[in-house]
Amino acid sequence: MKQLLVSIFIMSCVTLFAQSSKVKVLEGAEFKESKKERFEGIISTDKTGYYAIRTKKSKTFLEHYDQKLNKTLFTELNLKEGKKDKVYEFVVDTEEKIYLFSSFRNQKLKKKFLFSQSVNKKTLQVNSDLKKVAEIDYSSRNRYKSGTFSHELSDDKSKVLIYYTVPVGKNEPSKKGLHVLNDQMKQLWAKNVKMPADAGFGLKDFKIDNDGNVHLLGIVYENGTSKEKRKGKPNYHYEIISYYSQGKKVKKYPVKVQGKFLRDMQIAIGTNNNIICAGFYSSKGTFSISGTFFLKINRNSKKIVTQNFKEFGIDFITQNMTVRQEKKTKKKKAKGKNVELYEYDLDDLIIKPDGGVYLVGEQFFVKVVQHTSTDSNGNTRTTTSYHYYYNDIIVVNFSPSGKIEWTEKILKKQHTVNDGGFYSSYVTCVQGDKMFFVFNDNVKNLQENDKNKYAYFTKSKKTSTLVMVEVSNKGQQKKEVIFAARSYPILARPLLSSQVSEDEVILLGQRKKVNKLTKLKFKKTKGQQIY
Amino acid sequence: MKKITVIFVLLQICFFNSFGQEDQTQDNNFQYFDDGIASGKNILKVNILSSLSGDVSVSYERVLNHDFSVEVRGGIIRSHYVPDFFSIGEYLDNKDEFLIKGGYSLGIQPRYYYHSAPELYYTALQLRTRHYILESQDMSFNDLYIITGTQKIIGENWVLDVSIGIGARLKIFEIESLDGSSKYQLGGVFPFSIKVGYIF
Repeated sequence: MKQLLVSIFIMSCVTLFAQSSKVKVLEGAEFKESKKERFEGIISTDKTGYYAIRTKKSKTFLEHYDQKLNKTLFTELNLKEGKKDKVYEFVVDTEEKIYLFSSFRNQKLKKKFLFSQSVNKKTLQVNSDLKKVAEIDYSSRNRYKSGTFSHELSDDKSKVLIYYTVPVGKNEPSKKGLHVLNDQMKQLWAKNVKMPADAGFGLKDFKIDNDGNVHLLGIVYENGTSKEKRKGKPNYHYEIISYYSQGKKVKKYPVKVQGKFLRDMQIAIGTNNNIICAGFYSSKGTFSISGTFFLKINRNSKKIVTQNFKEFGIDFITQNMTVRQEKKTKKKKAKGKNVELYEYDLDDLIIKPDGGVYLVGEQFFVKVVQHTSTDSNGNTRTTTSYHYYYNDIIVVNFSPSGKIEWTEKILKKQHTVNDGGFYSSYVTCVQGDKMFFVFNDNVKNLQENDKNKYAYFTKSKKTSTLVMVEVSNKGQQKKEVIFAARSYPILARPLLSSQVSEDEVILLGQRKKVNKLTKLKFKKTKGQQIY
Repeated sequence: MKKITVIFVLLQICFFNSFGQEDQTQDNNFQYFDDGIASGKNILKVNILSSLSGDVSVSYERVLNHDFSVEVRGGIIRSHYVPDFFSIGEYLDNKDEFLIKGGYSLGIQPRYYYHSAPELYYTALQLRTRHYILESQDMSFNDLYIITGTQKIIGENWVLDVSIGIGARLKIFEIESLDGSSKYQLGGVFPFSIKVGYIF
């Protein structure tokens, strides 16, 4: 009885001091969604509110919400052209307009065409300015392998890159088609570019800078084999290939760390259009990471001006571990063995105003568990369950010169089964040189300082809580509650939520068929630099 | 009067010119969508395997919307019809007993396409009846089964449809006996079909 009373007292205290002082919360109206519908995300914002895409099987809808998150418009995008149906590809938001991109496969010409059309923001209907922007000639293949179009937008939204794989013959090196458009969707330049023709080439990332230059990141496999390891050593390296002067000048930058397996690299366009490349590496070549690296290419000289590789310290590796895990890891390190962080994925490369970089990653892995049982009749039954783990977030702060200023781990424990990590992971708001991480947590952790007793997030209304962890430019963490337990009936889905402006995040909340949008407005502090 | 006429003519020119420009834009885009394929909502098909077994029928499939279509079939049962694969041996031993005087087959099959009707993978429910008259008895096969298959459009208008299924069969024998009673037999059925067709 005493324990029950104490628990009730603790829960009510938590509920009472719930709301964070650094974020204003505005909840939108609830709306029902059928199973076949899917909210794809916010694609544009302006003074009137927010524009979102929703899909339902083969249909695509555009929605408008006002600043108070009331749905004001909802319309199906018209993809018909006479009697022919185009296929929805993607939507691009430039500063002034929204452009719908759709494709059509012409079986007679053996070509797949990509079109752009602007969208009237008042009616959400497409305008009649249909324009062909790219095409894939698939005459050497069958209609079902006609290729796909992808896109990238420059940071200032003035340039759009459309790219696709050009169908080639069996023994020919692979090619990519590049089309660079301005913000009116007029083509500035286009080129088919050959990919490195070594044992294998895996494209990882494409970026376009504000000047319309294109930068590609890929893995080049060596020694005639596409295996990652050869005699225990890395058999690949990363390469950045940059296309300048409308594709006429090509520059290649190999990225290698002697004896290390580079993992999870990303490129970003830094201040002054310099190319930043950063990521993690492993000494073992397994699903773990032991350090991080940073590389900067000067856009004028087109040379690597900064290069830095740094192994994680033991204190960082053991941060947030239980006492037992920490002892075991330190003992292993003392014996001279490699200790690494298990299964961390690089999520984001954030450019700071001073030209430095934040690297943000998260521990994510899936465990498949099979359980066999036998009933009284002797029949065996095997069930398979998928366990999704989204755990700690790591943040690495690089200075403009590539030195690591600090590394931090944000303690997070999310484990769910057979749901694809529906309510897991996190969403970020980057405000100047400060970051806010928002994720679902367990109410027990708010009062818990002992890492050994940290609880996993659960979907229960009694224990689920939405929290925010602020990370300052000096690496100091501060955790606050946004929604306390019991006052948080519709759980947020961080993976479908996003930062929509310099101080706002729109969260999609969902509980069964009921959805809700919630706006988090982060308060700016004095003297804060904003991007 | 002359002035009015001139102004009127000029206005007409401007009017037609603006429409002309729009038509030109539409014409420019038309080239991308002129793929020589009719919008493809109707397909006529022939089942090769069932035709070889003696059930010569024609199917007509109509696309209802992006995901669904319905197929209906009708045909005649020829004189040397073999109802299923397992009866082939029996048929070859006793051909005269299998001589059919006449018969027909009918079927209906609503389909759900996973990609976009009428292309690629689908799942369907088939209801089919075949009735024929032998020397001494009338036979009816009534099948209800689920099939899964794939339908590909080859070239501009040709269609290849391959499917496999599982379900139940109710056989009804009407024997000319003293009391004119019928016999029933329930069994399983595993249909496999290959159809070729024309889409228009």
